Amino acid sequence: MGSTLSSLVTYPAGKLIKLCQLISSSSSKPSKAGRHISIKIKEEEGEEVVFGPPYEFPPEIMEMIISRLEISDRIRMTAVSKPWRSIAMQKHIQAIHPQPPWLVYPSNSNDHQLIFFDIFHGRVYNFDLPEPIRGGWCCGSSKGWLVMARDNLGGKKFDGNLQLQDINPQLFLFNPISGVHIELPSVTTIPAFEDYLEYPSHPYKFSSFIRKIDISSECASTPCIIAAIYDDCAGLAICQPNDKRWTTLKAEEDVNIIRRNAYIDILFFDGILYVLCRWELDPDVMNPNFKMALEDHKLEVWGIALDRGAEWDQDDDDDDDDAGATTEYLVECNKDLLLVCRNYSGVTSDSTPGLFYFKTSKFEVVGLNPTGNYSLEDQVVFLARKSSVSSISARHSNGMGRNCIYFLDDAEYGYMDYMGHVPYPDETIYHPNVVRESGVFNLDNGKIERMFPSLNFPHQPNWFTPHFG
Amino acid sequence: MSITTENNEKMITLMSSDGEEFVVEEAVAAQSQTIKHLIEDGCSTEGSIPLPNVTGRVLSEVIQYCKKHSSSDDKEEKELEAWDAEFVKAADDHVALTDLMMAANFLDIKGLLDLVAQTLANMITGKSPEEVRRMWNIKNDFTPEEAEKVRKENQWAFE
Repeated sequence: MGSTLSSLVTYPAGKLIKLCQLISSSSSKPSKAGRHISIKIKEEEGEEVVFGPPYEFPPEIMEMIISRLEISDRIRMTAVSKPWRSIAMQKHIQAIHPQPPWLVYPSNSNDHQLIFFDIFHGRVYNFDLPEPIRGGWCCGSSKGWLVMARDNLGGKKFDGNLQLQDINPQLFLFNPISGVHIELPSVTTIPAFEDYLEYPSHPYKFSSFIRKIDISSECASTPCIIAAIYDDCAGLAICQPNDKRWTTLKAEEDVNIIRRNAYIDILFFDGILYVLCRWELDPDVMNPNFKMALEDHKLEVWGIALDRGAEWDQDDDDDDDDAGATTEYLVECNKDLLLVCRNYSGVTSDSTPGLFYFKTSKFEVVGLNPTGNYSLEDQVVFLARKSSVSSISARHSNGMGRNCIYFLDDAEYGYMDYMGHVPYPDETIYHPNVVRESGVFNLDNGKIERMFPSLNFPHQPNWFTPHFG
Repeated sequence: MSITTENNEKMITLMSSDGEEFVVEEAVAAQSQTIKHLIEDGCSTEGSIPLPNVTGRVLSEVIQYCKKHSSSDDKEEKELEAWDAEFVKAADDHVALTDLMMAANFLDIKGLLDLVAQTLANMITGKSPEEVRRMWNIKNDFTPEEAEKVRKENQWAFE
């Protein structure tokens, strides 16, 4: 009897008395089941009347449940009651399972909102941007932070006639869950930025100067280091939240020593900054700079050299039809550090005569500690050039995406080639960031499913793992 | 009281809050850290171990879980996972599961606690605060002003 009654049925108010009698008669003997009998009666006008004792949850049980919730459910629990709120708000109670990332909609410069899409639950979340970041756009994410860029151009593209003060480029870290935002030192403190502004042809946002920002910690108050690859792939810089300027890890005059696109990716992993470099770098040049970083910021920097130079030089001489390209990413997966290689193959357009472009064809996964083949097994990996997102287990993704890579479009320059030329400058057709390079690669069968629509966006999409902060 | 079976397994008797007695192998009962400590302290020699916080119905479920988990070794992980899934399904609703979780907490059975906590967390997923309150008969102790403030803080999660 206890079990039928306690299944919290909604009854019309008229049946109230009869039910209460039922309870008292069945309760005359102490309930063997010992279960709480609770009936909720909803009157016609919506006022809720609660009968029966409520569950008294010991705090440790509430904590066990809260720590197993995703962030949106945990936030909703803060509105259930004061005892639940006091547990759900405790930042030291960490989530047991990795939080599945959200897709950051590329916003327009005039937007006052950020929009996220939770792909595994099919939900959309809207966040108001706080005052200093209004009109800003997302250009990366790491450790629960969004990297937000903002300028004074109000969506206009910049050209060579503008002065730095007209542009006023600003970078922020923003945690949309806690609302905390921190302004980073200006990119104008990186000497190469001035040259970058004088490039003949990049009609895009100043944030394209930053290839990738990675952050060492979810919390801005603990020693938190921000590392950036800037100016295509030419330089590395670091700063801390209260710094006035960026510290460049490589003197500008050294650019000639290595080839231009030397730094491919950076990732803080286990407290160490890993730097993926295209070529073996001259140790005499690199070491002093890395040591400097160590002294000023107590940071350990490890380089991972990729010797792909030969392959690239060969590609340059190939016929277009056979051309391919590769780009690499550092990824944290199930407490391992991985190298993920994204392969593109050249495609000649059928519909637009003379148009040639690269299309993602496959991915390879290599372990870096120890080096070798790596099987993702039940892990789901998320890739985007400017986002650092840890993998999650398919068990916590509604069963989707086991052994899969969810990848986003990384083309910052639209159809500009890697030498910086825009072969088809007619922007009505060749708009930058046409998001057709996003999809899901299945490592089991090597197939790509392109599940994201092909839309014109002013910025790249990103992944973002929300964190309580 | 302490009984020994033909297989030389030591048996102990557990008594629920409503007076039901369960005779189980010591190894099964010792899945509960609470019972294990009671046995170690010599509390099981004089008659049965009383468990004043656990009813007979819940205790029989707990024993079912402990029996399964004391007879399986690590190699059968997959099978055990499937059994666990069936076990929580059979517990039929969140009220039964909550009783089970309270008992697992009192008896200190980590595996069962994890299992039930995850099942309850899955049940909360996607639910509104109103729905969660209804699940457990939780009183809304916010004033209308406080409730409004809580929602405004994280408007995104309530839309």
